[in-house]
Amino acid sequence: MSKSWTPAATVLLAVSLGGIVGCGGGGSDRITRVSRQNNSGTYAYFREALLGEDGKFKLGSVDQSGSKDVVELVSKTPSAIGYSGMGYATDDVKMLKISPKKGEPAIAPTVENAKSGAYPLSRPLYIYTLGEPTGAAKTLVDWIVSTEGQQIVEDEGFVPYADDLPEPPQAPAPAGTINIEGSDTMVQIAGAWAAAFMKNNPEVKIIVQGGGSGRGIASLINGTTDLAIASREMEADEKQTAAEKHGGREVQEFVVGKDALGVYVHKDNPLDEISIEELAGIYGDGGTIVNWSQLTPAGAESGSGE
Amino acid sequence: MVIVSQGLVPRGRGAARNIKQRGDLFEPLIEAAIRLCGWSAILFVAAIFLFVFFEAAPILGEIDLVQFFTSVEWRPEAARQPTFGILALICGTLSVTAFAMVLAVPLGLGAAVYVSEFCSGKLKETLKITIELLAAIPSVVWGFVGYMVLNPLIIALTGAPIGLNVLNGGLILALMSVPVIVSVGEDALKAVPDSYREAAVSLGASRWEIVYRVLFPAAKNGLLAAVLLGVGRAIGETMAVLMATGHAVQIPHSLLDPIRTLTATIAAELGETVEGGDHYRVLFLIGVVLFAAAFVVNFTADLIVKGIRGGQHD
Repeated sequence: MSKSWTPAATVLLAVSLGGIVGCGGGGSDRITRVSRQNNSGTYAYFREALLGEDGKFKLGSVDQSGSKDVVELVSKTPSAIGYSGMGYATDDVKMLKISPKKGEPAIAPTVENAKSGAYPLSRPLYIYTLGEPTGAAKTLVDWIVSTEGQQIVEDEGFVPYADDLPEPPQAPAPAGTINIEGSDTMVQIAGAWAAAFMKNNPEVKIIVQGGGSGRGIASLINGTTDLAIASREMEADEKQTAAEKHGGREVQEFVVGKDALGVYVHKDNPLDEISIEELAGIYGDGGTIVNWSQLTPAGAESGSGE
Repeated sequence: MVIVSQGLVPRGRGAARNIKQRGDLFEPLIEAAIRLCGWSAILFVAAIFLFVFFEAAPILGEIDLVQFFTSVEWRPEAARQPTFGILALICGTLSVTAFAMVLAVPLGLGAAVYVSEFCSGKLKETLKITIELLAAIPSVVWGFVGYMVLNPLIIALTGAPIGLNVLNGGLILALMSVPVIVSVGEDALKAVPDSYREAAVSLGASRWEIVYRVLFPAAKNGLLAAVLLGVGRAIGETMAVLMATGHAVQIPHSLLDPIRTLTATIAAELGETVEGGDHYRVLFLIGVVLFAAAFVVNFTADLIVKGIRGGQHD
């Protein structure tokens, strides 16, 4: 019996090594899709923008659980492409210009283009509450939509939701604790809001948690958070479930900023721009673009890549 | 014979009665407490299983179990019709565990043999402590090592598109399973009587021949139990594989493909589900599947270990 172990073990070892060396991934021409976890508002928004309401992502993307993690992974992986909020850009990645259709001019993800809506992937950022906010939460929301709160949005690298902004509330906030939970895209903005607000209103305690827009909305429905921050709109059936669970209290929606969702690639990647169609071909279920060489360089007119 | 020491044994005619009175109160109380501690382990396991099962049970009537186990379409947040297929996740768990065992078993058994047979004194003690330390490293630290260190290394060495894959996760899991295999394996080897070794030496066997021809067959039940316990550890591991495998829902075609395990799916998604919703219940169903798998593995290992303790001097 002991004699038959050796050939079996050798075969197993050879197969494993063959697995490593042999069909090893197609080299770095293969596009590595980096995505978010499936409850993320960013994930939901990107899917709808690329593939429509009933769209499905191709399975097998490397799913990260935070906006910052996506950018960090792309910065370390030359074959990667990923999407994340514009405020998370670093020097080790490049943001691609996006053209709505192949052949049309590509728009850069800047603050101006996000404000004007010219950038194809500009999206509003939301805060949701159960019923009209009261007490400290009401002062906080009023402050967030004012010039001061929106200045912080701009400082964090995102875009204020409008040009014409109300003045901040004058009266100090009543004492209280406010729970904010949700979008990972917005969690840094929310943290900055909390720090600034608590400095001016020491009677108020604000706790900020990330976890994804889906988590924030689920917590709002479960009643465990006061403010849900979300980078996608709350669905009609989610709003209904919330109202049913909490005695008919309607969910209130506040637009508190704008984001130009960036498509990130490694800084050494020669690609500079991409079209929505090509992104759908990369990320969508049934999409046929799997290698970088299938993407024609900027300015080329041949309609290949299919 | 007279017992001289004071205070230890009460002397005189009331002595026997005194001991018996103290025994009446003390002994049964202690016994009851110890019995409770023992039973509590069973109680906790049963309670956890019942909790997981009852959270998952309502969805058993609504879900197509065949599709659940055979479909790769894990889309719990799909806009219209969520689909819950865990085949890709099962393949993820199996592939990374299998690869980890391919690495961990030779490494672990080799280390067990070395520590048990070939070294002694200070080196032996140092090795044992170091291997225990390997077990004490928190799994999130292992995950971090996989994410920060192994990722670029694998890209550089193999030209893979991404270094978070079965290879990365398997390496980490192997290093986490090795201490388990070494501890139990070493016990199994120690249990082989010295007379076996002496007999082999007297027949002219070399050191390796003693290990290979005498000890392995004699201790094979215990070594198998060690391996199974290592497998149990690898299947249940969550944080390390969450960070090191790339968390991608797909069936791997090579060691360099990113995958996602059952455990990582639960960890990443449970916090964001609505309590009582479909997604929530399906995640608990995955928990039941994992529970069943871990239970089977550990129960088998336990039976085998009982086999060697029950005496196998044949």
